[in-house]
Amino acid sequence: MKDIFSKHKTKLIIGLVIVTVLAAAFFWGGNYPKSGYDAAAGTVSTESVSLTSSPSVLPETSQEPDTTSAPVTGEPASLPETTQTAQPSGQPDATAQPAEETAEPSPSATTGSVAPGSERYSESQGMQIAPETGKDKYKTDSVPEGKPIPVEPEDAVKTDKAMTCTLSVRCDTILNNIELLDKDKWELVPEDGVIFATTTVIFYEGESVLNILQREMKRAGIHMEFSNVPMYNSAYIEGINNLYEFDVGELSGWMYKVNDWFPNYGCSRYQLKQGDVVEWVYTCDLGKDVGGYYAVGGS
Amino acid sequence: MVNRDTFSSYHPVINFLHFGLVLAFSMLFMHPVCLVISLSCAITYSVYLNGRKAVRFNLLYMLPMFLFAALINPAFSHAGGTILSYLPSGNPLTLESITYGIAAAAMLVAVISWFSCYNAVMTSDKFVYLFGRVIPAMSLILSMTLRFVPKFKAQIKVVSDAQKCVGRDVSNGGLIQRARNGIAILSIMVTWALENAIETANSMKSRGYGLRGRTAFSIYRFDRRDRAALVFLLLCGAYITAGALLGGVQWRYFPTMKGVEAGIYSASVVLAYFALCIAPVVINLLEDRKWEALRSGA
Repeated sequence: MKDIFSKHKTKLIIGLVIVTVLAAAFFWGGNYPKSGYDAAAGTVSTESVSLTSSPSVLPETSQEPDTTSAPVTGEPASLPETTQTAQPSGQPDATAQPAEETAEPSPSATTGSVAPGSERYSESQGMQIAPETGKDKYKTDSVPEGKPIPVEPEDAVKTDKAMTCTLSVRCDTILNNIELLDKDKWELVPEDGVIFATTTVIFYEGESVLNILQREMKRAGIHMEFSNVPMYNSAYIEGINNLYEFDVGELSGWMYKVNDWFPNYGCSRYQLKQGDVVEWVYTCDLGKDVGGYYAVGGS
Repeated sequence: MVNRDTFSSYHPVINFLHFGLVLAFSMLFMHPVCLVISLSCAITYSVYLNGRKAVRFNLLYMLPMFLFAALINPAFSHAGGTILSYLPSGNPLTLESITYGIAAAAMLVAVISWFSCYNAVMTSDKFVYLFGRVIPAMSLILSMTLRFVPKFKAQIKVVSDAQKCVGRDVSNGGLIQRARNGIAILSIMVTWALENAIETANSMKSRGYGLRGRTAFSIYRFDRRDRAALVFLLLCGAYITAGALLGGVQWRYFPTMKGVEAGIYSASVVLAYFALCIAPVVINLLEDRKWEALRSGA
Protein backbone atom coordinates (compact mmCIF):
# COMPACT_ATOMS: atom_id res chain seq x y z
CA MET A 1 0.00 0.00 0.00
CA LYS A 2 2.69 2.38 1.08
CA ASP A 3 4.74 1.27 -1.87
CA ILE A 4 1.98 2.12 -4.31
CA PHE A 5 1.55 5.51 -2.71
CA SER A 6 5.19 6.49 -3.03
CA LYS A 7 5.34 5.12 -6.55
CA HIS A 8 2.48 7.28 -7.78
CA LYS A 9 3.14 10.28 -5.60
CA THR A 10 3.58 12.72 -8.50
CA LYS A 11 0.45 11.50 -10.22
CA LEU A 12 -1.53 11.94 -7.02
CA ILE A 13 -0.19 15.45 -6.52
CA ILE A 14 -1.00 16.40 -10.11
CA GLY A 15 -4.53 15.04 -9.73
CA LEU A 16 -5.01 16.95 -6.51
CA VAL A 17 -3.78 20.20 -8.08
CA ILE A 18 -6.16 19.78 -11.02
CA VAL A 19 -9.12 19.16 -8.72
CA THR A 20 -8.22 22.19 -6.59
CA VAL A 21 -7.92 24.47 -9.61
CA LEU A 22 -11.23 23.29 -11.02
CA ALA A 23 -12.96 23.72 -7.67
CA ALA A 24 -11.54 27.22 -7.28
CA ALA A 25 -12.63 28.13 -10.81
CA PHE A 26 -16.11 26.81 -10.10
CA PHE A 27 -16.61 29.01 -7.04
CA TRP A 28 -14.72 32.00 -8.41
CA GLY A 29 -16.96 33.40 -11.16
CA GLY A 30 -19.64 36.01 -11.12
CA ASN A 31 -18.31 39.53 -11.30
CA TYR A 32 -21.68 41.17 -11.54
CA PRO A 33 -23.31 43.51 -9.04
CA LYS A 34 -24.59 41.14 -6.39
CA SER A 35 -27.45 43.23 -5.17
CA GLY A 36 -30.44 41.46 -3.76
CA TYR A 37 -32.76 41.92 -6.68
CA ASP A 38 -35.90 39.88 -6.67
CA ALA A 39 -36.22 37.81 -9.79
CA ALA A 40 -39.98 38.20 -9.61
CA ALA A 41 -40.03 41.30 -11.73
CA GLY A 42 -43.09 42.89 -10.14
CA THR A 43 -41.64 44.96 -7.35
CA VAL A 44 -38.34 45.46 -9.07
CA SER A 45 -39.64 46.96 -12.23
CA THR A 46 -41.95 49.43 -10.52
CA GLU A 47 -39.05 50.85 -8.64
CA SER A 48 -36.61 50.68 -11.46
CA VAL A 49 -38.98 52.37 -13.81
CA SER A 50 -39.21 55.20 -11.35
CA LEU A 51 -35.46 55.53 -11.54
CA THR A 52 -35.25 55.90 -15.23
CA SER A 53 -38.49 57.49 -16.30
CA SER A 54 -39.79 60.93 -15.62
CA PRO A 55 -39.93 62.07 -12.01
CA SER A 56 -43.70 62.34 -12.10
CA VAL A 57 -43.99 58.72 -11.06
CA LEU A 58 -41.46 59.07 -8.28
CA PRO A 59 -43.80 60.14 -5.47
CA GLU A 60 -46.03 57.08 -5.72
CA THR A 61 -43.26 54.57 -5.91
CA SER A 62 -41.14 56.14 -3.24
CA GLN A 63 -43.65 54.89 -0.69
CA GLU A 64 -43.36 51.35 -1.86
CA PRO A 65 -39.99 50.50 -0.39
CA ASP A 66 -41.69 50.29 3.01
CA THR A 67 -43.68 47.31 1.94
CA THR A 68 -40.86 45.44 0.37
CA SER A 69 -38.03 43.71 2.14
CA ALA A 70 -34.77 45.48 2.84
CA PRO A 71 -32.38 43.69 0.47
CA VAL A 72 -34.73 44.21 -2.42
CA THR A 73 -34.88 47.92 -1.94
CA GLY A 74 -31.25 48.24 -0.91
CA GLU A 75 -30.12 49.64 -4.17
CA PRO A 76 -32.85 52.10 -5.05
CA ALA A 77 -33.36 53.25 -1.46
CA SER A 78 -29.75 54.27 -1.10
CA LEU A 79 -30.01 56.31 -4.24
CA PRO A 80 -31.06 59.63 -2.68
CA GLU A 81 -27.65 60.01 -1.05
CA THR A 82 -25.81 59.60 -4.29
CA THR A 83 -25.44 62.24 -6.92
CA GLN A 84 -28.17 60.70 -8.99
CA THR A 85 -31.18 62.20 -7.28
CA ALA A 86 -30.35 65.57 -8.65
CA GLN A 87 -30.28 64.11 -12.07
CA PRO A 88 -33.91 63.25 -12.85
CA SER A 89 -35.10 66.74 -11.99
CA GLY A 90 -32.14 68.40 -13.63
CA GLN A 91 -32.55 66.41 -16.76
CA PRO A 92 -34.04 67.84 -19.91
CA ASP A 93 -36.16 64.70 -19.85
CA ALA A 94 -38.51 66.20 -17.34
CA THR A 95 -39.34 69.25 -19.35
CA ALA A 96 -38.78 68.12 -22.87
CA GLN A 97 -41.62 65.66 -23.15
CA PRO A 98 -44.34 66.51 -20.75
CA ALA A 99 -47.33 65.58 -22.87
CA GLU A 100 -46.64 61.96 -23.68
CA GLU A 101 -45.14 61.14 -20.34
CA THR A 102 -48.02 62.35 -18.25
CA ALA A 103 -50.66 61.29 -20.70
CA GLU A 104 -49.45 57.75 -20.30
CA PRO A 105 -49.96 57.23 -16.60
CA SER A 106 -47.69 55.17 -14.43
CA PRO A 107 -49.96 52.12 -14.19
CA SER A 108 -49.57 51.46 -17.86
CA ALA A 109 -45.84 51.94 -17.55
CA THR A 110 -45.59 49.47 -14.74
CA THR A 111 -47.98 46.84 -15.98
CA GLY A 112 -46.93 47.42 -19.55
CA SER A 113 -43.30 46.73 -18.83
CA VAL A 114 -44.03 43.34 -17.34
CA ALA A 115 -47.11 42.40 -19.36
CA PRO A 116 -46.83 38.99 -20.97
CA GLY A 117 -47.05 38.75 -24.72
CA SER A 118 -50.46 38.17 -26.19
CA GLU A 119 -50.41 35.63 -28.99
CA ARG A 120 -53.91 36.48 -30.18
CA TYR A 121 -53.15 40.18 -30.37
CA SER A 122 -49.79 39.64 -32.07
CA GLU A 123 -51.26 37.39 -34.71
CA SER A 124 -54.09 39.80 -35.34
CA GLN A 125 -51.41 42.41 -36.03
CA GLY A 126 -49.79 40.14 -38.59
CA MET A 127 -47.03 38.46 -36.62
CA GLN A 128 -46.49 34.89 -37.76
CA ILE A 129 -46.03 32.71 -34.70
CA ALA A 130 -45.20 29.04 -34.97
CA PRO A 131 -47.65 27.06 -32.82
CA GLU A 132 -45.11 24.52 -31.57
CA THR A 133 -42.62 27.09 -30.23
CA GLY A 134 -44.81 30.09 -29.60
CA LYS A 135 -42.23 32.28 -31.32
CA ASP A 136 -41.86 33.81 -34.76
CA LYS A 137 -39.14 32.68 -37.15
CA TYR A 138 -36.60 35.00 -35.51
CA LYS A 139 -37.18 33.50 -32.06
CA THR A 140 -39.28 36.42 -30.85
CA ASP A 141 -42.10 35.83 -28.40
CA SER A 142 -45.46 37.49 -29.00
CA VAL A 143 -45.65 41.14 -28.00
CA PRO A 144 -47.93 42.46 -25.25
CA GLU A 145 -51.25 43.94 -26.19
CA GLY A 146 -51.08 47.44 -27.61
CA LYS A 147 -47.41 47.23 -28.52
CA PRO A 148 -46.11 47.31 -32.09
CA ILE A 149 -45.01 44.02 -33.61
CA PRO A 150 -41.55 43.69 -35.15
CA VAL A 151 -41.10 44.89 -38.73
CA GLU A 152 -38.31 43.18 -40.62
CA PRO A 153 -35.82 45.82 -41.85
CA GLU A 154 -35.76 44.33 -45.34
CA ASP A 155 -39.57 44.66 -45.59
CA ALA A 156 -39.77 48.19 -44.20
CA VAL A 157 -41.00 50.74 -46.72
CA LYS A 158 -39.02 53.92 -46.30
CA THR A 159 -40.40 57.20 -47.59
CA ASP A 160 -39.22 60.81 -47.59
CA LYS A 161 -41.79 61.81 -45.02
CA ALA A 162 -39.92 63.40 -42.13
CA MET A 163 -41.15 62.80 -38.61
CA THR A 164 -39.74 63.43 -35.17
CA CYS A 165 -39.00 61.35 -32.13
CA THR A 166 -36.81 61.87 -29.10
CA LEU A 167 -33.59 60.02 -28.46
CA SER A 168 -31.41 59.79 -25.41
CA VAL A 169 -28.45 57.63 -24.38
CA ARG A 170 -27.69 57.19 -20.69
CA CYS A 171 -25.37 55.07 -18.61
CA ASP A 172 -26.22 56.24 -15.07
CA THR A 173 -26.31 52.67 -13.71
CA ILE A 174 -22.55 52.54 -14.20
CA LEU A 175 -22.16 55.28 -11.57
CA ASN A 176 -23.29 52.79 -8.92
CA ASN A 177 -20.95 50.07 -10.12
CA ILE A 178 -17.97 52.11 -11.26
CA GLU A 179 -15.56 49.85 -9.38
CA LEU A 180 -16.41 47.02 -11.79
CA LEU A 181 -15.37 49.16 -14.75
CA ASP A 182 -11.80 49.19 -15.98
CA LYS A 183 -10.07 52.30 -14.61
CA ASP A 184 -8.99 53.28 -18.11
CA LYS A 185 -12.65 53.74 -19.00
CA TRP A 186 -13.70 55.85 -16.04
CA GLU A 187 -13.15 59.01 -18.04
CA LEU A 188 -15.81 57.85 -20.50
CA VAL A 189 -18.62 57.90 -17.96
CA PRO A 190 -20.14 61.38 -17.70
CA GLU A 191 -20.75 62.68 -14.18
CA ASP A 192 -24.50 62.68 -14.67
CA GLY A 193 -24.48 59.52 -16.76
CA VAL A 194 -25.91 61.27 -19.80
CA ILE A 195 -24.03 60.43 -22.97
CA PHE A 196 -26.59 61.90 -25.34
CA ALA A 197 -29.15 64.17 -23.72
CA THR A 198 -32.79 63.85 -24.70
CA THR A 199 -33.07 65.45 -28.11
CA THR A 200 -35.84 65.68 -30.62
CA VAL A 201 -34.55 64.18 -33.81
CA ILE A 202 -35.90 63.79 -37.31
CA PHE A 203 -36.41 60.40 -38.88
CA TYR A 204 -38.05 59.26 -42.10
CA GLU A 205 -41.08 57.05 -42.22
CA GLY A 206 -40.17 53.37 -42.13
CA GLU A 207 -36.90 53.82 -40.27
CA SER A 208 -35.95 51.73 -37.27
CA VAL A 209 -34.47 52.55 -33.89
CA LEU A 210 -31.09 51.42 -35.19
CA ASN A 211 -31.27 53.89 -38.08
CA ILE A 212 -31.75 56.95 -35.88
CA LEU A 213 -29.22 55.78 -33.29
CA GLN A 214 -26.62 55.24 -35.99
CA ARG A 215 -27.34 58.57 -37.65
CA GLU A 216 -27.43 60.64 -34.49
CA MET A 217 -24.31 59.05 -32.99
CA LYS A 218 -22.46 59.69 -36.22
CA ARG A 219 -23.65 63.27 -36.27
CA ALA A 220 -22.73 63.86 -32.63
CA GLY A 221 -19.34 62.19 -33.12
CA ILE A 222 -20.09 59.58 -30.48
CA HIS A 223 -18.55 56.17 -30.99
CA MET A 224 -21.00 53.31 -31.54
CA GLU A 225 -20.39 49.73 -32.59
CA PHE A 226 -22.95 47.13 -33.54
CA SER A 227 -23.01 43.74 -35.15
CA ASN A 228 -25.72 42.05 -37.17
CA VAL A 229 -27.20 38.88 -35.74
CA PRO A 230 -28.89 36.86 -38.49
CA MET A 231 -30.58 34.56 -35.98
CA TYR A 232 -32.63 37.48 -34.63
CA ASN A 233 -32.56 39.42 -37.91
CA SER A 234 -31.43 42.49 -36.04
CA ALA A 235 -28.43 44.54 -35.11
CA TYR A 236 -26.96 44.13 -31.65
CA ILE A 237 -25.47 47.24 -30.07
CA GLU A 238 -22.12 46.19 -28.65
CA GLY A 239 -20.94 49.53 -27.36
CA ILE A 240 -21.72 53.22 -27.28
CA ASN A 241 -19.11 55.85 -26.40
CA ASN A 242 -16.59 52.99 -26.02
CA LEU A 243 -18.63 51.58 -23.15
CA TYR A 244 -19.10 48.01 -24.27
CA GLU A 245 -21.14 45.03 -23.24
CA PHE A 246 -19.56 43.16 -20.29
CA ASP A 247 -17.52 46.24 -19.34
CA VAL A 248 -19.28 46.52 -15.97
CA GLY A 249 -19.51 42.88 -14.95
CA GLU A 250 -20.68 39.94 -16.97
CA LEU A 251 -24.35 40.93 -16.95
CA SER A 252 -23.89 44.39 -18.43
CA GLY A 253 -24.76 45.82 -21.82
CA TRP A 254 -26.97 48.22 -23.73
CA MET A 255 -30.77 48.01 -23.80
CA TYR A 256 -33.36 50.22 -25.41
CA LYS A 257 -36.85 51.23 -24.55
CA VAL A 258 -39.47 53.01 -26.57
CA ASN A 259 -42.22 54.86 -24.69
CA ASP A 260 -41.00 53.18 -21.49
CA TRP A 261 -41.36 49.68 -22.92
CA PHE A 262 -38.40 47.40 -23.46
CA PRO A 263 -39.23 45.66 -26.74
CA ASN A 264 -38.58 41.92 -26.76
CA TYR A 265 -36.96 42.14 -30.19
CA GLY A 266 -33.93 43.86 -31.71
CA CYS A 267 -33.61 47.53 -32.53
CA SER A 268 -33.46 46.96 -36.30
CA ARG A 269 -36.97 45.55 -36.17
CA TYR A 270 -38.60 48.36 -34.20
CA GLN A 271 -40.20 50.70 -36.68
CA LEU A 272 -40.54 54.23 -35.33
CA LYS A 273 -43.70 56.23 -35.14
CA GLN A 274 -44.20 59.98 -34.80
CA GLY A 275 -43.47 61.12 -31.26
CA ASP A 276 -41.82 57.93 -30.03
CA VAL A 277 -39.54 58.33 -27.05
CA VAL A 278 -36.43 56.21 -27.59
CA GLU A 279 -34.08 55.73 -24.67
CA TRP A 280 -30.87 53.73 -24.68
CA VAL A 281 -29.83 52.71 -21.19
CA TYR A 282 -26.87 50.76 -19.90
CA THR A 283 -27.68 47.90 -17.58
CA CYS A 284 -25.22 46.34 -15.18
CA ASP A 285 -27.51 43.50 -14.12
CA LEU A 286 -29.23 41.97 -17.14
CA GLY A 287 -31.89 44.67 -17.19
CA LYS A 288 -32.95 44.34 -13.56
CA ASP A 289 -31.53 47.73 -12.64
CA VAL A 290 -33.32 49.53 -15.48
CA GLY A 291 -36.59 47.63 -15.31
CA GLY A 292 -36.18 45.58 -18.45
CA TYR A 293 -35.35 42.16 -17.03
CA TYR A 294 -38.31 40.40 -18.64
CA ALA A 295 -37.19 41.63 -22.08
CA VAL A 296 -34.19 39.34 -21.98
CA GLY A 297 -36.40 36.36 -21.24
CA GLY A 298 -36.26 36.72 -17.48
CA SER A 299 -39.79 35.74 -16.52
CA MET B 1 30.97 31.70 -45.48
CA VAL B 2 29.64 30.29 -42.26
CA ASN B 3 29.00 32.90 -39.65
CA ARG B 4 30.48 31.80 -36.36
CA ASP B 5 28.00 32.87 -33.74
CA THR B 6 29.85 33.64 -30.53
CA PHE B 7 26.69 33.85 -28.46
CA SER B 8 26.05 30.16 -29.25
CA SER B 9 29.34 29.26 -27.64
CA TYR B 10 28.14 30.56 -24.29
CA HIS B 11 26.84 28.16 -21.72
CA PRO B 12 23.34 26.76 -22.54
CA VAL B 13 21.98 28.34 -19.35
CA ILE B 14 22.94 31.77 -20.67
CA ASN B 15 21.41 31.09 -24.09
CA PHE B 16 18.20 29.76 -22.63
CA LEU B 17 17.86 32.51 -20.04
CA HIS B 18 18.39 35.19 -22.65
CA PHE B 19 15.75 33.81 -24.98
CA GLY B 20 13.39 33.19 -22.10
CA LEU B 21 13.64 36.80 -20.93
CA VAL B 22 13.46 38.32 -24.38
CA LEU B 23 10.49 36.23 -25.45
CA ALA B 24 8.60 36.90 -22.24
CA PHE B 25 9.18 40.64 -22.44
CA SER B 26 8.34 40.73 -26.14
CA MET B 27 5.02 39.06 -25.45
CA LEU B 28 4.17 41.23 -22.45
CA PHE B 29 5.24 44.76 -23.38
CA MET B 30 2.86 46.61 -25.67
CA HIS B 31 4.66 49.95 -25.45
CA PRO B 32 5.45 51.03 -29.03
CA VAL B 33 9.09 51.80 -28.22
CA CYS B 34 9.55 48.34 -26.66
CA LEU B 35 7.97 46.71 -29.69
CA VAL B 36 10.24 48.61 -32.07
CA ILE B 37 13.29 47.61 -30.01
CA SER B 38 12.29 43.95 -29.84
CA LEU B 39 11.38 43.73 -33.52
CA SER B 40 14.50 45.45 -34.81
CA CYS B 41 16.83 43.46 -32.55
CA ALA B 42 15.15 40.16 -33.46
CA ILE B 43 15.44 40.88 -37.18
CA THR B 44 19.06 42.05 -36.83
CA TYR B 45 20.07 38.93 -34.94
CA SER B 46 18.19 36.56 -37.26
CA VAL B 47 19.86 38.15 -40.28
CA TYR B 48 23.22 37.89 -38.54
CA LEU B 49 22.61 34.21 -37.80
CA ASN B 50 21.03 33.02 -41.02
CA GLY B 51 22.26 35.59 -43.53
CA ARG B 52 20.47 35.81 -46.86
CA LYS B 53 18.04 33.05 -45.92
CA ALA B 54 16.68 35.19 -43.07
CA VAL B 55 16.32 38.25 -45.30
CA ARG B 56 14.34 36.23 -47.81
CA PHE B 57 12.20 34.67 -45.08
CA ASN B 58 11.46 38.07 -43.57
CA LEU B 59 10.51 39.64 -46.88
CA LEU B 60 8.53 36.69 -48.21
CA TYR B 61 6.63 35.60 -45.14
CA MET B 62 7.05 38.05 -42.29
CA LEU B 63 6.23 41.23 -44.20
CA PRO B 64 2.94 39.93 -45.68
CA MET B 65 2.04 38.47 -42.30
CA PHE B 66 2.74 41.83 -40.66
CA LEU B 67 0.52 43.65 -43.15
CA PHE B 68 -2.23 41.06 -42.87
CA ALA B 69 -2.27 41.14 -39.08
CA ALA B 70 -2.18 44.95 -39.06
CA LEU B 71 -5.12 45.24 -41.47
CA ILE B 72 -7.29 42.52 -39.96
CA ASN B 73 -7.66 44.32 -36.63
CA PRO B 74 -9.41 47.54 -37.76
CA ALA B 75 -11.63 45.41 -40.00
CA PHE B 76 -13.07 43.58 -37.01
CA SER B 77 -12.41 45.77 -33.99
CA HIS B 78 -14.11 49.14 -33.92
CA ALA B 79 -13.29 50.28 -30.41
CA GLY B 80 -11.41 53.50 -29.78
CA GLY B 81 -12.13 57.14 -29.13
CA THR B 82 -10.69 58.72 -32.27
CA ILE B 83 -13.06 58.10 -35.14
CA LEU B 84 -11.31 58.58 -38.48
CA SER B 85 -14.08 57.50 -40.79
CA TYR B 86 -16.87 54.97 -41.16
CA LEU B 87 -16.60 51.54 -42.73
CA PRO B 88 -19.20 50.41 -45.31
CA SER B 89 -20.77 48.21 -42.62
CA GLY B 90 -21.65 51.34 -40.63
CA ASN B 91 -19.14 50.78 -37.86
CA PRO B 92 -16.45 53.34 -37.13
CA LEU B 93 -12.83 53.07 -38.26
CA THR B 94 -10.77 54.27 -35.34
CA LEU B 95 -7.17 55.33 -34.95
CA GLU B 96 -6.79 53.13 -31.89
CA SER B 97 -7.83 49.94 -33.67
CA ILE B 98 -5.33 50.67 -36.46
CA THR B 99 -2.43 51.34 -34.10
CA TYR B 100 -3.33 48.32 -31.99
CA GLY B 101 -3.34 46.17 -35.13
CA ILE B 102 0.12 47.42 -36.05
CA ALA B 103 1.37 46.81 -32.51
CA ALA B 104 -0.03 43.27 -32.41
CA ALA B 105 1.47 42.53 -35.82
CA ALA B 106 4.86 43.85 -34.68
CA MET B 107 4.69 41.65 -31.60
CA LEU B 108 3.81 38.59 -33.67
CA VAL B 109 6.65 39.11 -36.12
CA ALA B 110 9.13 39.89 -33.33
CA VAL B 111 8.27 36.71 -31.44
CA ILE B 112 8.53 34.56 -34.58
CA SER B 113 11.89 36.15 -35.42
CA TRP B 114 13.14 35.51 -31.88
CA PHE B 115 12.10 31.88 -32.22
CA SER B 116 14.01 31.56 -35.48
CA CYS B 117 17.09 32.81 -33.59
CA TYR B 118 16.30 30.41 -30.75
CA ASN B 119 16.23 27.47 -33.15
CA ALA B 120 19.62 28.41 -34.54
CA VAL B 121 21.24 28.90 -31.13
CA MET B 122 19.55 26.40 -28.83
CA THR B 123 20.39 23.11 -30.52
CA SER B 124 18.70 20.00 -29.20
CA ASP B 125 21.81 18.78 -27.41
CA LYS B 126 21.83 22.01 -25.40
CA PHE B 127 18.19 21.57 -24.56
CA VAL B 128 18.65 17.96 -23.48
CA TYR B 129 21.72 19.01 -21.49
CA LEU B 130 19.63 21.59 -19.60
CA PHE B 131 16.48 19.56 -19.01
CA GLY B 132 17.58 15.93 -19.46
CA ARG B 133 18.01 15.54 -15.73
CA VAL B 134 14.93 17.41 -14.58
CA ILE B 135 12.34 16.22 -17.07
CA PRO B 136 14.00 13.39 -19.03
CA ALA B 137 10.97 12.10 -20.93
CA MET B 138 9.71 15.57 -21.78
CA SER B 139 13.04 16.88 -23.00
CA LEU B 140 13.63 13.78 -25.15
CA ILE B 141 10.20 14.14 -26.74
CA LEU B 142 10.77 17.86 -27.30
CA SER B 143 14.14 17.39 -28.93
CA MET B 144 12.77 14.56 -31.07
CA THR B 145 9.84 16.71 -32.15
CA LEU B 146 12.02 19.67 -32.96
CA ARG B 147 14.32 17.40 -34.95
CA PHE B 148 11.44 15.69 -36.72
CA VAL B 149 10.72 18.13 -39.56
CA PRO B 150 14.28 18.58 -40.86
CA LYS B 151 14.92 14.85 -40.51
CA PHE B 152 11.68 14.00 -42.30
CA LYS B 153 12.56 16.38 -45.13
CA ALA B 154 15.97 14.74 -45.58
CA GLN B 155 14.53 11.22 -45.52
CA ILE B 156 11.74 12.04 -47.97
CA LYS B 157 14.40 13.08 -50.47
CA VAL B 158 16.20 9.77 -50.02
CA VAL B 159 12.99 7.76 -50.48
CA SER B 160 11.87 9.86 -53.42
CA ASP B 161 15.23 9.39 -55.18
CA ALA B 162 15.08 5.66 -54.61
CA GLN B 163 11.55 5.51 -56.04
CA LYS B 164 12.65 7.56 -59.03
CA CYS B 165 15.18 4.86 -59.89
CA VAL B 166 12.37 2.32 -60.31
CA GLY B 167 10.13 4.85 -62.08
CA ARG B 168 7.67 5.37 -59.25
CA ASP B 169 8.31 8.94 -58.16
CA VAL B 170 5.71 11.72 -58.08
CA SER B 171 7.32 13.01 -61.29
CA ASN B 172 6.60 9.78 -63.20
CA GLY B 173 3.44 8.87 -65.11
CA GLY B 174 0.02 10.43 -65.48
CA LEU B 175 -1.91 12.34 -62.89
CA ILE B 176 -3.46 9.31 -61.20
CA GLN B 177 -0.20 7.37 -61.30
CA ARG B 178 1.59 10.34 -59.75
CA ALA B 179 -0.93 10.59 -56.96
CA ARG B 180 -0.58 6.86 -56.32
CA ASN B 181 3.19 7.14 -56.18
CA GLY B 182 2.90 10.11 -53.84
CA ILE B 183 0.63 8.17 -51.49
CA ALA B 184 3.04 5.23 -51.57
CA ILE B 185 5.94 7.50 -50.65
CA LEU B 186 3.88 9.04 -47.85
CA SER B 187 3.05 5.60 -46.53
CA ILE B 188 6.73 4.66 -46.56
CA MET B 189 7.54 7.86 -44.72
CA VAL B 190 4.94 7.33 -42.02
CA THR B 191 6.17 3.80 -41.42
CA TRP B 192 9.73 5.07 -41.29
CA ALA B 193 8.84 7.87 -38.85
CA LEU B 194 7.04 5.53 -36.44
CA GLU B 195 9.76 2.95 -36.59
CA ASN B 196 12.40 5.59 -36.13
CA ALA B 197 10.67 6.99 -33.05
CA ILE B 198 10.42 3.55 -31.46
CA GLU B 199 14.04 2.82 -32.30
CA THR B 200 15.17 6.08 -30.76
CA ALA B 201 13.16 5.41 -27.63
CA ASN B 202 14.54 1.85 -27.34
CA SER B 203 18.04 3.06 -27.93
CA MET B 204 17.77 5.74 -25.25
CA LYS B 205 16.26 3.28 -22.82
CA SER B 206 18.95 0.68 -23.37
CA ARG B 207 21.53 3.32 -22.58
CA GLY B 208 19.85 4.05 -19.30
CA TYR B 209 18.60 7.50 -20.24
CA GLY B 210 16.84 9.20 -17.36
CA LEU B 211 17.94 6.66 -14.74
CA ARG B 212 19.13 7.85 -11.37
CA GLY B 213 22.85 8.30 -11.05
CA ARG B 214 23.49 8.20 -14.77
CA THR B 215 25.89 10.85 -15.98
CA ALA B 216 26.01 12.34 -19.44
CA PHE B 217 28.92 13.67 -21.40
CA SER B 218 28.84 17.35 -22.13
CA ILE B 219 31.37 19.83 -23.34
CA TYR B 220 29.79 22.82 -21.61
CA ARG B 221 31.78 24.65 -19.01
CA PHE B 222 30.50 27.55 -16.98
CA ASP B 223 33.46 29.92 -17.07
CA ARG B 224 34.16 33.54 -16.15
CA ARG B 225 32.68 34.86 -19.36
CA ASP B 226 29.44 33.03 -18.63
CA ARG B 227 29.38 34.33 -15.09
CA ALA B 228 29.63 37.90 -16.35
CA ALA B 229 26.86 37.24 -18.87
CA LEU B 230 24.67 35.69 -16.17
CA VAL B 231 25.10 38.70 -13.92
CA PHE B 232 24.26 41.00 -16.82
CA LEU B 233 21.14 39.01 -17.74
CA LEU B 234 19.90 38.79 -14.17
CA LEU B 235 20.47 42.50 -13.52
CA CYS B 236 18.76 43.51 -16.76
CA GLY B 237 15.90 41.09 -16.21
CA ALA B 238 15.32 42.24 -12.64
CA TYR B 239 15.51 45.92 -13.55
CA ILE B 240 13.13 45.55 -16.48
CA THR B 241 10.70 43.43 -14.48
CA ALA B 242 10.70 45.95 -11.65
CA GLY B 243 10.31 48.79 -14.14
CA ALA B 244 7.37 47.07 -15.81
CA LEU B 245 5.68 46.39 -12.48
CA LEU B 246 6.12 50.03 -11.46
CA GLY B 247 4.56 51.14 -14.73
CA GLY B 248 7.72 52.28 -16.49
CA VAL B 249 6.63 50.88 -19.85
CA GLN B 250 2.89 51.34 -19.44
CA TRP B 251 0.92 51.99 -22.59
CA ARG B 252 -2.79 51.69 -23.24
CA TYR B 253 -4.44 51.60 -26.64
CA PHE B 254 -8.11 51.78 -25.67
CA PRO B 255 -10.23 53.85 -25.40
CA THR B 256 -7.65 56.50 -26.29
CA MET B 257 -3.93 56.03 -26.57
CA LYS B 258 -2.02 57.07 -23.52
CA GLY B 259 1.33 56.04 -22.12
CA VAL B 260 3.65 56.73 -19.28
CA GLU B 261 5.26 60.15 -19.61
CA ALA B 262 8.72 60.04 -21.11
CA GLY B 263 11.07 60.56 -18.18
CA ILE B 264 14.50 59.52 -17.06
CA TYR B 265 13.16 56.47 -15.26
CA SER B 266 11.11 55.04 -18.12
CA ALA B 267 13.97 55.86 -20.50
CA SER B 268 16.34 53.85 -18.30
CA VAL B 269 13.98 50.86 -18.35
CA VAL B 270 13.71 51.07 -22.12
CA LEU B 271 17.49 51.38 -22.36
CA ALA B 272 17.95 48.26 -20.23
CA TYR B 273 15.50 46.45 -22.49
CA PHE B 274 17.47 47.53 -25.54
CA ALA B 275 20.72 46.37 -23.94
CA LEU B 276 19.16 42.98 -23.23
CA CYS B 277 17.78 42.53 -26.74
CA ILE B 278 20.90 43.66 -28.59
CA ALA B 279 23.37 41.79 -26.34
CA PRO B 280 23.96 38.76 -28.64
CA VAL B 281 24.62 40.97 -31.65
CA VAL B 282 27.02 43.17 -29.67
CA ILE B 283 28.86 40.12 -28.33
CA ASN B 284 29.22 38.79 -31.87
CA LEU B 285 30.40 42.09 -33.31
CA LEU B 286 33.01 42.55 -30.57
CA GLU B 287 34.27 39.02 -31.11
CA ASP B 288 34.38 39.52 -34.87
CA ARG B 289 36.45 42.66 -34.42
CA LYS B 290 38.80 40.88 -32.05
CA TRP B 291 39.21 38.07 -34.57
CA GLU B 292 39.91 40.51 -37.37
CA ALA B 293 42.47 42.34 -35.26
CA LEU B 294 44.21 39.11 -34.37
CA ARG B 295 44.30 37.94 -37.94
CA SER B 296 45.58 41.17 -39.42
CA GLY B 297 48.12 41.46 -36.60
CA ALA B 298 49.62 38.09 -37.46
